[in-house]
Amino acid sequence: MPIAEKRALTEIVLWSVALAYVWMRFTAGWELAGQSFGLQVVEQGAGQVFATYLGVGLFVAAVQIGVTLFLSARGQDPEFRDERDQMIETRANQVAYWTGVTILNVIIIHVVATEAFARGRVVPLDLTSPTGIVFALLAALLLQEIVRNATRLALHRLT
Amino acid sequence: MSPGPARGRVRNRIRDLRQAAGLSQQQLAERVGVTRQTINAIEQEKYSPTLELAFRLAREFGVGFEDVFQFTAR
Repeated sequence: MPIAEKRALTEIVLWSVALAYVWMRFTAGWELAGQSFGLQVVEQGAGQVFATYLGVGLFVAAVQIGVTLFLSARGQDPEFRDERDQMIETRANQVAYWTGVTILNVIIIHVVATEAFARGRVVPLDLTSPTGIVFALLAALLLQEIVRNATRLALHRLT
Repeated sequence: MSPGPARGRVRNRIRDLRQAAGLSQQQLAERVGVTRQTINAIEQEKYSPTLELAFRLAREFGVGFEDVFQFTAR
C-alpha cells in the first residue's frame, strides 16, 4: 500500500477512535464493554469538558507525531506530495468543507428546533446546553476529519 | 447559443515509451519527481498531468510533446 493511502487509513482509525471517545465521554444511553454512550447528552462541569477536549487534542497530536516519526525512520518522506497528491488533497478538503457546513447547519436547525418546540422535554442529543454545544462542535470536527481522510483514500484508489 | 468546445479525452503513450526506454514506473517517477502511483494513474489515463509534468515527461523520453500526448475529440 502506498504511503499516502497508509497515512489516510491511519488517520481514519485515529479520528474514529477520538470520535468514539468523545461520544462515550459526553453521552449515555446504551452500554458497550462497560462504556456508556448513546443519544442522551450527559451534563458535565467546565473542568471535565475541558479535560476531554484537551485529552483528545493531545491524543491526536501524539499519534500524528508518532506516525510521522515512524515513516521518517523507515526512510519515507511523510511530507512529500506530488501534483496528484495535491489535487487529491484539494478535493478532499472541498468534500470536508461541505461536510462541515452541512453538519453545522444540522446543528443550528436542531438547536433552534429544540429551543422552539421541545423546551424542557427530553429530546435525542439535546445540544442547547454548553456541554451539548461543545460535544456537537467537537464531534463535527472529528467527523469532518474522518470524511476528509476517507475521501483522500477513495481518490487515491480511484484516480 | 454556441455549442461550446467539443468534449474530448487526453490520451498518452507513456507506457510504450517507458517500456521502450527500459524504465520501471518507479524509475520514471523518480526522474520526473512524482510518485510511482502518479505515473501509474497517468498511464491508465485516470489522471491528466499538469502541463509542467507533461513537458517534463516528453523531455525525459527525448520526444516532442505531441508524440506523448494526444487530444481526441469525442
